[in-house]
Amino acid sequence: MATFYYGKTHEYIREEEGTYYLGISDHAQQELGDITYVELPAEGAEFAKGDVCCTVESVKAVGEIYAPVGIKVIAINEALEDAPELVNQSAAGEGWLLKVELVNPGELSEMMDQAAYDAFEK
Amino acid sequence: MTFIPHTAEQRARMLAAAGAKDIEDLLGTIPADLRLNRPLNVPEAHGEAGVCRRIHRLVTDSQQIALNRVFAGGGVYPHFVPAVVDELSHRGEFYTAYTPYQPEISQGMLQCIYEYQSYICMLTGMEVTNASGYDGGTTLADSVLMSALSHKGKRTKVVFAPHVDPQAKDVVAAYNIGMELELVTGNPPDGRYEGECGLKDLLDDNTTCVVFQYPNCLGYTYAELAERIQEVHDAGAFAIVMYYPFAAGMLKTPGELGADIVCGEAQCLGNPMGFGGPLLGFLACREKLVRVMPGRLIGKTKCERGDAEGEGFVMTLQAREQHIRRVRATSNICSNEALLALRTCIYMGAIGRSGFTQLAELCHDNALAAHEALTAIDGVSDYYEGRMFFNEFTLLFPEGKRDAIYDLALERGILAGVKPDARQAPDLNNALTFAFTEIHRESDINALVNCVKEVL
Repeated sequence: MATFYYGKTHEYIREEEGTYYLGISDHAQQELGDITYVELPAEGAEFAKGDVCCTVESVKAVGEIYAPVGIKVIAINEALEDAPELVNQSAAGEGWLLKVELVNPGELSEMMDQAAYDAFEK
Repeated sequence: MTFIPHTAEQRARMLAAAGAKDIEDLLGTIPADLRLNRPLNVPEAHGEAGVCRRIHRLVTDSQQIALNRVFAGGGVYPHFVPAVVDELSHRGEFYTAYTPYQPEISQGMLQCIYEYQSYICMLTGMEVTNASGYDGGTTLADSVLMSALSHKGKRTKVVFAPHVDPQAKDVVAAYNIGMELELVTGNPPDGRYEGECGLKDLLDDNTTCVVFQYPNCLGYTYAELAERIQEVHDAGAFAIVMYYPFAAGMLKTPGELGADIVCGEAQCLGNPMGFGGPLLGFLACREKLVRVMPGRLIGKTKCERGDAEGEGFVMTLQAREQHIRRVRATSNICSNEALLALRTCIYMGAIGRSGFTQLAELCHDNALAAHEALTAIDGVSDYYEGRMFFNEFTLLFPEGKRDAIYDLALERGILAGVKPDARQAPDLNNALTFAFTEIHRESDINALVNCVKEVL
């Protein structure tokens, strides 16, 4: 059972059985179009809220992905190297970008829950 | 694709659709005080005959120097361009072709540029190259930017080995405005490059790249370039080599020596000197750097139309380019030298692999013969005694004699080399850098040697 928290720039933090994943929302992948490449940071990298942590390239655009809360990278989604299209196919699931540790779990309360994000003007 | 200008009727229809009475209406948003309210200050138009007379006078009033009496290189070389290059590149479909945004109508041009890219990879020993840049200087600047971007701003020092063309370094300095990278040049204590290039003291963990020119701008090769490049890698930096591609006919490619990025001036391959332009910059790198490489990239792909199975060509990896990345792009280049790249492709195809090697050997042999004759003259010495060169070398003349030699040669219709940029070392004020190609005959070299003998 997973809980999603969304940022204003369409990133999510997904909480699943005590593990946190960072990804982009289904809306974001639709806007970007066919994703051709994902640039991920190194394991162990730390980002403050608002820092650019990843870059997602599609055929027509380049999107910077901002850390919605302070994070430390535990693992990257290696499957994306050969199959970046996973982000299009399953943005909320297999298309996750980073497995992270939250520097300050309290910051999650500043993000939107699913209902708030669905209502959010995009 | 044919060019058909608008008719008056089409203009009227477009204006009506835009809700404008005339063109002036469309410019209404420009403030009145910024508008030019007089005709442009351009001289009166002449008829065709008048223009021809004027151009003819401009040409005949200047001194004409036959190509085989030009011994000046320094980036732009007097090579012979076979007629087939002009003949084919002047075909309308090639000559007026624009950027191949629409692959479905540009397959011919795209294939030629893809083949140009293939030749550049062969000549440089690199894995990927772009569809060309403006000239050697700007591709060097792009190479430096690629390096800095790859280090994500964590390394900000750029080191130049001695004798990288100062004009190319000026271009890098211009691109550096706003970037604030630290640009330093290796300067061995005695002012001369030997062995280490004075690099050991400059390489540190803030170095993003080291730039070598090979052969260097005075014409000399580096015996231990592979070792130098290894030292650069050991320091975690990128090795950029600015290369004279004609030398690939005889020298090891920068790729074989371990370079990460290779750039330079490809005018020498099928293009005229043209008073210094247009020129043809090439930029090539290892595949791991392709995403930070700026410029156009033509790729080969599969065609999926039912009736047209097979391969096709298309501009690819466009998300690198500045019209998509904008402020995050490596560089602002959004063009290439398509016509010159096409001419290089035709030239390489025409001379072939064995032809290319033969021509390179001819250049080298001519340089060796000239070197022997010139250094035999009393008072003439090598700038770097005993160092190997490909087709270009630098000689020192007695104090005050360099300009006399250059001027006498000019009177005789000979361009006696390039006066090297003395910013590298003050004694270069007494030097000349000579270049030799396959176009020079014994009689040409003798004419040059006689000028020197006469003055000394």
